[in-house]
Amino acid sequence: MGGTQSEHKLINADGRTRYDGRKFDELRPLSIQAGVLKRADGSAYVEWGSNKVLAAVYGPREVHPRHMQNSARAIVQARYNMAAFSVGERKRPGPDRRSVEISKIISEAFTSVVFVEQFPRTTVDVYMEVLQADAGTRCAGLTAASVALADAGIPMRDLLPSVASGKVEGVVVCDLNKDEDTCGEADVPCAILPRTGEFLLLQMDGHLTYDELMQAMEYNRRACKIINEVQKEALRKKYSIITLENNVMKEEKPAEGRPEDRDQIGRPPESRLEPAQQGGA
Amino acid sequence: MELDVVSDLRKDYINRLFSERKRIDGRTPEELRPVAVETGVVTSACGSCRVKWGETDVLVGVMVEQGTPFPDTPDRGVLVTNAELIPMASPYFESGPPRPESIEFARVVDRGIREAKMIDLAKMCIKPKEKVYLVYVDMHVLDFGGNLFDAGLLGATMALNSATVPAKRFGYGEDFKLPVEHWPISITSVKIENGLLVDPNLDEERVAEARLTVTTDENGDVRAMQKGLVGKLSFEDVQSIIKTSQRCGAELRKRLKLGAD
Amino acid sequence: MDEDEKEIMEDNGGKAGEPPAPRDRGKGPCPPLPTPVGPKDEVWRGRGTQDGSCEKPAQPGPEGTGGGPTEGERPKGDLPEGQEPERGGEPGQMPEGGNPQPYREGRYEQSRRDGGGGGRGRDRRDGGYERRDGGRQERREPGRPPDVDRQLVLPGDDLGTHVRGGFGTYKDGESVYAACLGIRSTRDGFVSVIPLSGKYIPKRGDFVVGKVAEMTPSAWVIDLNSPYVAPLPGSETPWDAQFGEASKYMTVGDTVLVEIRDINEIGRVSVTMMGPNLRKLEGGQTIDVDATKVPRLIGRGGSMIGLLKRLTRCHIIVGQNGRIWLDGTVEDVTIALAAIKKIERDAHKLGLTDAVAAFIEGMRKELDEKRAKKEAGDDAREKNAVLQDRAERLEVQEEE
Repeated sequence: MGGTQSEHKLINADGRTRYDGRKFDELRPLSIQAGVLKRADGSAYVEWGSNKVLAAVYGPREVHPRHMQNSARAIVQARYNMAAFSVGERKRPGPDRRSVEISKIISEAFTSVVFVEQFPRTTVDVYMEVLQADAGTRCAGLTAASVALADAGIPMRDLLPSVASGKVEGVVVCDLNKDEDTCGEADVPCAILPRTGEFLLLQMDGHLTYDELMQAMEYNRRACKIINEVQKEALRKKYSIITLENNVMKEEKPAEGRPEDRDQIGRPPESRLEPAQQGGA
Repeated sequence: MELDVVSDLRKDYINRLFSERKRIDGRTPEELRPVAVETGVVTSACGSCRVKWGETDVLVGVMVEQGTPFPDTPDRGVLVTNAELIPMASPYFESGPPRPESIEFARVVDRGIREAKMIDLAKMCIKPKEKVYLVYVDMHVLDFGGNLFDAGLLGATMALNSATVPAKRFGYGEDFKLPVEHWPISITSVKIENGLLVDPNLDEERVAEARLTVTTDENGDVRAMQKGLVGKLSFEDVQSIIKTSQRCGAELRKRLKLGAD
Repeated sequence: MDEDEKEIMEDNGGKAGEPPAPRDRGKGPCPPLPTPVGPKDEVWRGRGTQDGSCEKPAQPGPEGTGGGPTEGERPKGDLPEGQEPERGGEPGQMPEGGNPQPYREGRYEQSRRDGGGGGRGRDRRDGGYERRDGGRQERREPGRPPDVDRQLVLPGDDLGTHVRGGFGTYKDGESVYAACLGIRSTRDGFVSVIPLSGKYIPKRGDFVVGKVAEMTPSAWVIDLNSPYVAPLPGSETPWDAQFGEASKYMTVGDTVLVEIRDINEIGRVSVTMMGPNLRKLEGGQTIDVDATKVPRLIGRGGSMIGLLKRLTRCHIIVGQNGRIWLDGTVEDVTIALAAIKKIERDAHKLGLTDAVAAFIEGMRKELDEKRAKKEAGDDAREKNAVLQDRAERLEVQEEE
């Protein structure tokens, strides 16, 4: 990295905020929508700062070519791609080496989270398209893909949030934007399991002392908790009409002996998809 | 699939050994394998180095060409790092287009060199906007014995350190030694069920849950990191691995007297 | 990032001197290196059933299973009229006897514990409190109100400590967590999650509507609207199909009603057509819906499907795999398809049965009016187009 760009100050003179007004540990505005595509089994759309990233999941489904399949578990194939119009200068379409590397590490992250042992000989295909890039695209892609996986009904241990902190003009800050990434001194993208705080993706490039690195990782950990809430909210919003908060007992309690209960195909009576009192979202 | 079966047996064995602080090849969990380096092995290259790191064998060649700079850095040279996992190196390597593993390997090594600012690319400019030197680092893996990252970066840095820029050939004056300033070293550790092992050999890498490569400079500052494999790393694991990398990196520097010319 | 953009440009064959020669991209990818299965913490329960019935834990151990939940209302699919579902679906019994666990989870758990009986080894660490009581007690956290049930849960959500996890959950330490997005449900002492989306994973005993996707020398390969296909060998059909003549009986594209005989640890599915009313389905149409919606489509005691059949006058077969076969007049089938789509869309809404009845009635009225206006000799296709348009417009209205 290195400041070959303009010399504008990225850290304000007050020593507490960045040039875009954020505090050092503040995230950029982030919004997520779940279930935005019709054909995909699961999908999500993320707007994060000026990032616009779309994620879609197909699967589990048959593996092609056949020799790629693993007879003991599903394989997770993530494909990260930047659209030609997503960066300042037109990028030639198709995977470049950077996309290949990012796809690889995201596949690895999800392979750990998804219960792959439940679907032998299948693949879970995760597609992430960066439509507009503003640094942290792999984090935005991963974050969106997590939501898409849940939307597709794929069993997972947890949702997986992702963020990149770094260092700018000597200060460790959370969630780099494009200028900060380009002109800054370090970039630490990661993906952290919310419940346990474990890293499923971790990279770093730049120049950090041990303490600075620990600080960046701590920012990441905190930020991931917040991002996780946004992920959950997105899913709740889509599926919320099924939330059954006010399920005053419309149905009787399930009595074991009753013939009509036994006849009912599929599920015990109280677990059918009966809605809440309010229709609300 | 038979590999998986072998792995399970191996995995148990490796974990059992670990509880006695031992490893298959007799090392302790914090010990590096023996490392041997030899520079100047390929005279057709501007610089070269062969690294034998445990059972891993990597040959790195550096070629310097001339060309046009990137438009956003008109006065800086260009560094390109590439890796070849040639089929002879392992029964798992096939010929064909670069696999994700080889791309990741090349990019992580590249990151180490670039972020440590090992080469001052500003000194590699011939004529701004028109002509700069292009430095190609090509890593050829001859034998895959586990842990390519560390061997690759060491080979690359030693090859760069011993490289000559063939200015005369291009008509730009006398040949000169490639200007090298800092010296990154990467040390990779893996997490197995019972703990952490530094510098995994092939078996250990194959049974490992997670892997973390940490590239440090001569001050112990971190220049690059890359987590690999599909397992999870706790915050404490990461801290521990970084500290190990700092320590082993310093040790290796001393052992090989790196940066001491 | 500087470096990455430069990589991008270089791959473009851009301005950098001599870019690396483009590689021959014709070769296929190399087989993946085996990755060891890592995590030591948990086992995901459930084997892809869509019905939400709480799973019985793995093989009976030497102490016996100690009760546990009933296998419960295992989905039976809808059989053609006049048939009662036959195969072991009574509550309290394990279907087919023996261990129906197709996946490794039981073994996985066993191998980590003292090798003792069944998948209950983990619970044994709790002092075995659950095994002996017939499985009826649910130990919940004190103070947790009962209506936490039926809430939407997301992967990773905490479902409680010292509870037993059923379908769609996993355990880590003492707590049970949701493994998929769905509705939390407690029954017979098991907390499970009923998934709201997901693919159909074949389960032994299910009746499914399949399509012949391929033919091999020894079998028809059946697409099950699932990540898994199933071979249907000649021996599992009532026909005596000789090699080379198989297409006389059934060929690619045909629709069949088959039963899942088994699915093993590596997801190999076997099906059979030997059974009452299992057969090739002639004529008609099929429509695929989300398999998780099948119970809603069938309704309590078959109420919804019965209503559909009655009002649309169609012959309808609902497969557990979410594929539905129907047959009737053009008009009736169009109405039925629209009604099914509506049910899939509005599965969560109250009073759906009445809404569907009203919907169908509405469509019929439209048709009658249109027919009354036109004289005999209408172009059948035009009528169909009108119906389709109406169906779509009604759907759009519903969405609003």
